Amino acid sequence: MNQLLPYEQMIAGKLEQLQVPDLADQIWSAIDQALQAPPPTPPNPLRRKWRWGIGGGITGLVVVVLLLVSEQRSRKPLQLFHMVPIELPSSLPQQQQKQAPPAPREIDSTSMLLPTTHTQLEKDSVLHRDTTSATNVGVPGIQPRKLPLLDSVKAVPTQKGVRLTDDDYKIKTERKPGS
Amino acid sequence: MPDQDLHIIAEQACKGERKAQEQLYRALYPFAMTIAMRYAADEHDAADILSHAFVKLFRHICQFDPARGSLHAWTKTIIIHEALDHVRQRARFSTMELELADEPAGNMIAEQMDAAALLALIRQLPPATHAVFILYAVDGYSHREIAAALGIREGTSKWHLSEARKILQQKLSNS
Repeated sequence: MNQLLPYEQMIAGKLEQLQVPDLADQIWSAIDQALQAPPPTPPNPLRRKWRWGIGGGITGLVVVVLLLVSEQRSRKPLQLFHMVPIELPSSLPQQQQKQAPPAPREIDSTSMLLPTTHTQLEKDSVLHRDTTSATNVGVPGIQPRKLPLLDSVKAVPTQKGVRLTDDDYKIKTERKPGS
Repeated sequence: MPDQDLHIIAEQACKGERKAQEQLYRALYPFAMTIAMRYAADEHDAADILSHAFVKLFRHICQFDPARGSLHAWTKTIIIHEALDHVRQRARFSTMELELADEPAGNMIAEQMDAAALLALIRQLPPATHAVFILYAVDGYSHREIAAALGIREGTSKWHLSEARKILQQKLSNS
């Protein structure tokens, strides 16, 4: 395999004597034309490195962002405002420490009984707040409390007209000191 | 033309003198065309190989160092590499690595054939087998060198040589 056979040596010798075709001018014109054109620029290895660097950087940035997002999701939600309890100083004047007075309570004079439990509504009834029609369903152990009949508008007795007494019917005769 | 004259012309060609480049090309043409013809499928293919090879040669002529070798040897290397690039484009190198026994030689028919007929016979080989046969039998490359030049394994190179021998034996006996 590694030795040339006799006929191969003969072929090699004969091929050296090969008549070459007369294509010299034709080939030279092609060479001349190719040499006039600017040589192809080889790929710049520095530019290739830059490309790899930029690509790697972008990939790294994306990976970091994804890691941060996944970590944020696994944690509790962010507390944007840190709540700190405020202690009121004890040296404040008493007026400031006083609690605000309760709002005035409107008393319904028409209702005798306050519903102590939830009201049972009839079917197909329209839900409305009618304190007068409230009925006590009754819960064992809880007695409805009777409230005094109060009117929100307190009637103040006023004196109408002039009160007459017996003395008013007496004819007073008083003489003038001159008559 | 003596080698010393060629070296002087090469120096002028290095400076970009087109006349010197043409002179060098015409001096090397028969030698270069003989090499290209061995690897090419036909004359047009050989002309294509040669034009590409000489463009490369002139673009790198300043790198030529007479101390490291002759201009002919340098030109031959460039042409063979260009020819192998052409072969790679039209050939598929099979990865078979069969170690076949050497075929018996002694075919006297080849002796009676002229160079053109023998070249026509070699060109009937598959392109890859053709290239390996010329590299090994004519240009004297070893299987290791062929494997490195073509990017194949040594066993693959041996298989192609064996195939070439088998096919050529058959064709020579039939002719």
